[in-house]
Amino acid sequence: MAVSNASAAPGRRKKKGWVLPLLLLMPVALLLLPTTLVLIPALIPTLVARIVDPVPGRHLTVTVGSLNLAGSLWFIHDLWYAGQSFSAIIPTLSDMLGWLAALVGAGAGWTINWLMPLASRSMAHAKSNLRLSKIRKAQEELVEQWGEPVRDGTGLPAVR
Amino acid sequence: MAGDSDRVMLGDRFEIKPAARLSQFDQGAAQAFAAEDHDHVGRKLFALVAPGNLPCRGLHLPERKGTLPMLWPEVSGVVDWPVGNQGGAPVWGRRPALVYPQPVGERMLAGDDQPLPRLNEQTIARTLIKPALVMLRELGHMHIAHRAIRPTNIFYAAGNSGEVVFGECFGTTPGSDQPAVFETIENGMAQPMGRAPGTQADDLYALGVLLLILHLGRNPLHGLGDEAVVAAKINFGSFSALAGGEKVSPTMAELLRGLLSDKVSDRWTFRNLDMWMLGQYFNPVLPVLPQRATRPIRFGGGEHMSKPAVANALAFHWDEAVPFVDSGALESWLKRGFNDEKAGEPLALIRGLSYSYGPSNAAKHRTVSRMINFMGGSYPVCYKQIRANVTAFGTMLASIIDQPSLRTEFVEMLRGRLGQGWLDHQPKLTIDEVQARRMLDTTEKVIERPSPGYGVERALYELDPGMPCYSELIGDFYVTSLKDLLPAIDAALPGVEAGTMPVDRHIAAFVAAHIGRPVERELALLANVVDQNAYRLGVLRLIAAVQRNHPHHDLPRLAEAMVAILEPVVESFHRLKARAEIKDKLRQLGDRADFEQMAELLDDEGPMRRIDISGFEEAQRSYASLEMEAVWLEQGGLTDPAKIQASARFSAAITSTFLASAVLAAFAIYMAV
Repeated sequence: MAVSNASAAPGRRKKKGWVLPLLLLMPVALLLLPTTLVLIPALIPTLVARIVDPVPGRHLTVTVGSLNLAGSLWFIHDLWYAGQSFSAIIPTLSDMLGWLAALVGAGAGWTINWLMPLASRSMAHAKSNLRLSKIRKAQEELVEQWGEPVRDGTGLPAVR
Repeated sequence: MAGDSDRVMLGDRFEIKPAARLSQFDQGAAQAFAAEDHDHVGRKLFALVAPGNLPCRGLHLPERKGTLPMLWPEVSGVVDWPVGNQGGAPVWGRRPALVYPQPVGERMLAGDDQPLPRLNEQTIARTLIKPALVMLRELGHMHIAHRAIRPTNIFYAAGNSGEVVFGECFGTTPGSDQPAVFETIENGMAQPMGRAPGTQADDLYALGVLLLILHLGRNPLHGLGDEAVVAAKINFGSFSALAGGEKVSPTMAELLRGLLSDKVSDRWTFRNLDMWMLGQYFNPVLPVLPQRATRPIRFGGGEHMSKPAVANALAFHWDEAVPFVDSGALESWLKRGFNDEKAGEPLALIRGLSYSYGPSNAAKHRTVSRMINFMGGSYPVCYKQIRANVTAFGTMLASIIDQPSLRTEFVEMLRGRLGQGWLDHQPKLTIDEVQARRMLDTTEKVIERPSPGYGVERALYELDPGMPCYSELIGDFYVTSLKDLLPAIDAALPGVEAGTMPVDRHIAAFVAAHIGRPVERELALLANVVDQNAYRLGVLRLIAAVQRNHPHHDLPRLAEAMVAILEPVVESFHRLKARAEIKDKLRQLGDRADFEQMAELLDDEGPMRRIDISGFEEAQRSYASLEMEAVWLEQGGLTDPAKIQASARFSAAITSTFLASAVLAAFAIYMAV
């Protein structure tokens, strides 16, 4: 049926959106399997952010995830120095500083996500007020030039 | 203007003295005053100051070739004249004035009630006809009719007998001062101001009456009213009516019958008279009397036997005429009295025409008027209280324009096309009548329109192009030409209240009739009673149109008044700076009295106005657009929490991605090193 086909189409496109990067990342993840195994627990805050972020665009996931990943580089550095072997996984994950870095990264993402609306609101109000004053000034100039009737179509002097 | 001085100069030579009346030389409404010739002190002169509300034909006289046995103006022109008195100071206006030498001899007859001298045939020929011939020959060359030949307007050349000098004839409207007895039936029936300017034939008729009553030594029709005089002439013929049964010699009878013929084509001409004086014999002119009915008809207190007699009675008894004609008694008399069963056909046509033109409530009056025309033929157009020849409609209207009821009757007459109907009924038209038809056709187009520049005022100036402007503002300045209009307005303004408009209905009509090109747009603006600015622009444009035809820039008071009048128009410009600029420009143009430039500057379709309107519309749009944006901002266009939230999330994602990218880049560099 046309309706079911139409409703099915976006779903398929959505699936494709996730599948392609997953398919591209899969060989890398398999090739760097110890790194992958270290990153999975390190990126748990990102997973949480993904779960609590229902808004389309998933900006919270991106915000938290990008800085969480940056913080997780500590683990990667440790792992790669240890030869990136499966045996280095447990010692790497036992590094408290690594956890601190990953979680601080994720925390920074959360903080940015929390502070940004406040900053945006202040900026928007400032911008709005500035524009409004410019508009009022331009209007006053028009009234000075053309008189009160410019404000509206009523009370105009006779025009033939 | 004459200023504070009482000296009134006509040219540089003749002084007229307003304080020195010479009422013995008055001519109808024209008053006589003492005059002095500064080049020949001691000459006895008098000046006739003509009324300011009628055309004066003495102002445009051709050069005379020889001495005439009549009072001929030494000089004529329009002079400054005290027309009134305000708080002891004279109010100056302008009047036409004619300076004449005082007659040496006495006036033949001091008044109409004075006894007439009785003159024999030889005396008449020598003392009257001889100078009359000289005068009529010369006037004929100049195409002027005297129209004032009567005993009270004749002077003896010396003393109180002998050869005569005819009186002046230019101070008043032609024929208006003549008693009905000296006028032909057509003119005698008309009201004095409704008499035709006339031709030499009218002068010869008047001369015939003069000769007859002087020969008889009495006027047999003396004491009769105009209606009775005309009725007598209709019923018996002019000669018989005036002779009153008295015998005159065959040669005199031949002369008088010729001069007093009621049929113009049979009337003696100047040539006949000249030849008679040389002893030529002419076949006597037989009187042409109207066809008599087999039985009389009673109307207006008398019995009438002919159609012209009934026409005359109808004209003088209008109130009775309407029910009389309506009753069918007249139709029945026309059929039975003349054994004419087909008489009903023209009457049906008359009724049809009467109902076709003019206001419907006056159809019966128009029927009476057309009946008079049908029965009288060349008799004047009669309508209610008006009796006028078509060539004298202008002067007739001028004499009644200040009387609302008569004015309404005159307008009804014009709307009913009674003048055109009269002309259609004539077997042959004179040059004056052809011209009158043209004027009536022009008038017909404007008489019904009530707005300024049209209506009865316009009719007044269309019907007589020499008519002075009747405006309340400049009526005292005797303006007969467009070139004198603006200077007259300028001179009149100091005497009126501030804010008085320099154009009224009469001035608008006067301009429209004289300017010779369409001024409909200006008149349409003047008719705009709702928009005062349009009206004021109309005033300016009309004045500018006159100035274009007759450039005249020494008009400081008019210019000042116009600048003041136009202030609201300037205020109607939207751009405030433009108003100030236009005011300055207007003042500069006012200093030069340049009304054309003023009109261009303020023209509602000119560049200034167009730029102003388009700029204002653009400004209104800009203002509205800004207002919409302001409202949007005030309603949280930029500060909507949901929008801010969405934007903040996006900004946060961008910021953190940027920071993470920087860390990753640093990590990559570190690992590479």
